[in-house]
Amino acid sequence: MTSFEEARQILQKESTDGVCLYDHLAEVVLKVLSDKLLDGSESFEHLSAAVKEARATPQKPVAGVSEAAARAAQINWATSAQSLFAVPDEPPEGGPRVPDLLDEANMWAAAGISFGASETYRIFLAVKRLAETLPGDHETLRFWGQVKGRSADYLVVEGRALEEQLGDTEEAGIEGTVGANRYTYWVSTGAGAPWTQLPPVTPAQIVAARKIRRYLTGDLDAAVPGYPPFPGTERNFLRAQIARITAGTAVSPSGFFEADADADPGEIKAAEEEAINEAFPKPASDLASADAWVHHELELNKLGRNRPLPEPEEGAEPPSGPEEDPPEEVPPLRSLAEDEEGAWGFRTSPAGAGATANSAAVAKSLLWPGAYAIAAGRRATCVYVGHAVKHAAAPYEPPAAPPLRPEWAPEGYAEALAEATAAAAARAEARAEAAAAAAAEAEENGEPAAAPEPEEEGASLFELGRWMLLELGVEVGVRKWVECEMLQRLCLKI
Amino acid sequence: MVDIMKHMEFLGPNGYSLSQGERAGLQVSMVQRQQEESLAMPLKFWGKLLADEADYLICYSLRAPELEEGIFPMRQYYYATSNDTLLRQMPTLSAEQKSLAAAVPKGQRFKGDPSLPLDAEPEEEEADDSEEPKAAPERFRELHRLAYTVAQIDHDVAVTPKGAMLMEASRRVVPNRYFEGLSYEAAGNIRNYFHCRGPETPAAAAALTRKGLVSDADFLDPLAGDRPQGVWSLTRDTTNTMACLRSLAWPGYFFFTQIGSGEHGGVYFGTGLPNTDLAFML
Repeated sequence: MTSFEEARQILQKESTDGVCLYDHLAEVVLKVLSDKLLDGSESFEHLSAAVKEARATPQKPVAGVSEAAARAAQINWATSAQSLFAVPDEPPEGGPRVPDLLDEANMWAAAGISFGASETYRIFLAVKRLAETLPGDHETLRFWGQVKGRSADYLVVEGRALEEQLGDTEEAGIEGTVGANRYTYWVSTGAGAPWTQLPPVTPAQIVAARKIRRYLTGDLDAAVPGYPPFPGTERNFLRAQIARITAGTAVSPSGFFEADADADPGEIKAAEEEAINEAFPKPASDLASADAWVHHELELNKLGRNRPLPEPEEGAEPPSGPEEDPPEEVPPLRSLAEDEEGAWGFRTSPAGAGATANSAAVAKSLLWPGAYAIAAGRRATCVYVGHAVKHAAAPYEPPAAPPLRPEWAPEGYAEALAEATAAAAARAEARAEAAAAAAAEAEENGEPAAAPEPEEEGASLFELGRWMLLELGVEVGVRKWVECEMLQRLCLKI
Repeated sequence: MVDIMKHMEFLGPNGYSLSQGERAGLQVSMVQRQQEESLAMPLKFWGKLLADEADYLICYSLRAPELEEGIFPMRQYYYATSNDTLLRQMPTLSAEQKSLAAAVPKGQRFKGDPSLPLDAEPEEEEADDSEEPKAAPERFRELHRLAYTVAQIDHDVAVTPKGAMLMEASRRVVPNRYFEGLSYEAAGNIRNYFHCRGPETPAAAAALTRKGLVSDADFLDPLAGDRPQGVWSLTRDTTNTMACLRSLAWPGYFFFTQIGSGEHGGVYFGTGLPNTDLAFML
């Protein structure tokens, strides 16, 4: 029989972690009493673990409050966000119109899009603040959506582009305000962060953006690696993706927009308010099908343009480019029913038991996941929230490197190529022979034929890699990164 | 992974949320399931699978594992659709159904109709009056693919921050009640996030057999070990009071942890399709 003192001595024996059981138990008991934990026995392990954890990191900062880094970051944010709430001495004059973003946010919510009530309000203030700094010729600033990047997200705002800002479009090789540069876009990484205007988009950028598949990084100046090479940095790539998404997913129920008969070439403009008030609201059930909706932006053709190439002037050299097959001009306000099968899904919200004639109708793009168009009452709006990556039914394959032009072929290229081809053919022959022999042998022995040796596969892949390097190294020369990128991808695919 | 009444505001940085109708309907269904099936742990919202014609709403409940199921809590999933928010139990899949689900092309979107058959039309058997009518073999439906996909997503991307799980003396892994959250610095480091699943790396699996108190950082697979590098995007929200993790392998998975509080959770708002092109996209 041990006395109390003896028991205490046993418990106070220091264990390997430098803490005696007596102290540990005392601390656990203290925690039960101080935190008023009534289910102490049930949660004993949790308590014991919490006590041990606290002992392992005694100077554990009261997280999020006392840490210097957290402090700096949060003060930084609070300062910039606080400026949004500052009330100006005089109401600002002019500037483009800002639609009621809070009202629109309710429509987005019907489609399942929400940035949270508080953040939405700050985005509303940030768009309003941007509008106050801009000339009124931008007409209306529309919150376009949010594009997610790997390290930061972009909030995107859209306004009518100004001719004088685009400059000489013909010289720059871009489309003007009646084409793909009809709108100007501003992006920021969050409400309160500064807005950056994106540059106009070129047809070449749109064509290149279609061929690559990438996530955005969140840094406008980041390079856009990939093959074929993208002409520009991330700000151009983002602008090209916005142009593609806008052209593909800006839709509204038929009646909100109309063709402008006076303009040449034909433009799309918002319908008169009276006409909209007369035609709407429509019952949600009428709007939940492709026939009821139209594209209110022009499609981008395969040259990356909204409009056909301008006619060459008399006597002038015809512009170089793929002339033989000019893309057809698509009529404005084409119906969604003419889009490819499985391009759109339709909902009403509320659905199910809550469905009424007043429900909002939602058209969601299945090709650009994250693009939603919502019509409710006499209003219609579009919003995009996503990674700016198009849906692909099949895995992505980068386009093959173009064949080497004979006049650029280095000395020995033809021989090396012939050698590689011959070697591959010889290997294939040897493999076939070996397989035949093995099959014959197996048949003799009455065994099933063995699978071909896997090592051959590796050898031919190595050959392929060498061959590709030869192709790329010669064709693109200085563009080292293309080589590396392609090789890396090749390896990854293997 | 999240409480739909409490955590919706935390999902703001992801941009996706539930509509009012979905939320109200789920609240009813969750209470009903919870009490009718007397679930031991509260039902949590798992995510929304965005399909063509209607969306799937998915919830789950944790339960203690049976002896042969290991030591990690098991998940029972429930599904509803955006048109009908009554939660139903997700079926348990047979091996054949799993292989059928794995064979569905990876780029094929979900339709939104759980009863949609995905297999080939079974041949009409000739009517045989002498025998009793046999029960037709169960068709492979979208519901089965849904069950398979949800389990796969959960396996690949369910995240838990360091310290949120605990091994009890009974050698069972349970959520730590006294988890106090990550600090600002820690929340910004991918090393402090782990896969919420049974360990698959040898190091983590070995830690499970160790005696005494084992930290969850030892017996769970770290996200930092996932390949290719960059498959996780770890950012802070604009307010810098929260860390956000997004999976790029399953675009749509979003995990948040509030700095300095135990509030954390993950949701999935995506099309249910894996990203097969990740190697090209980083």
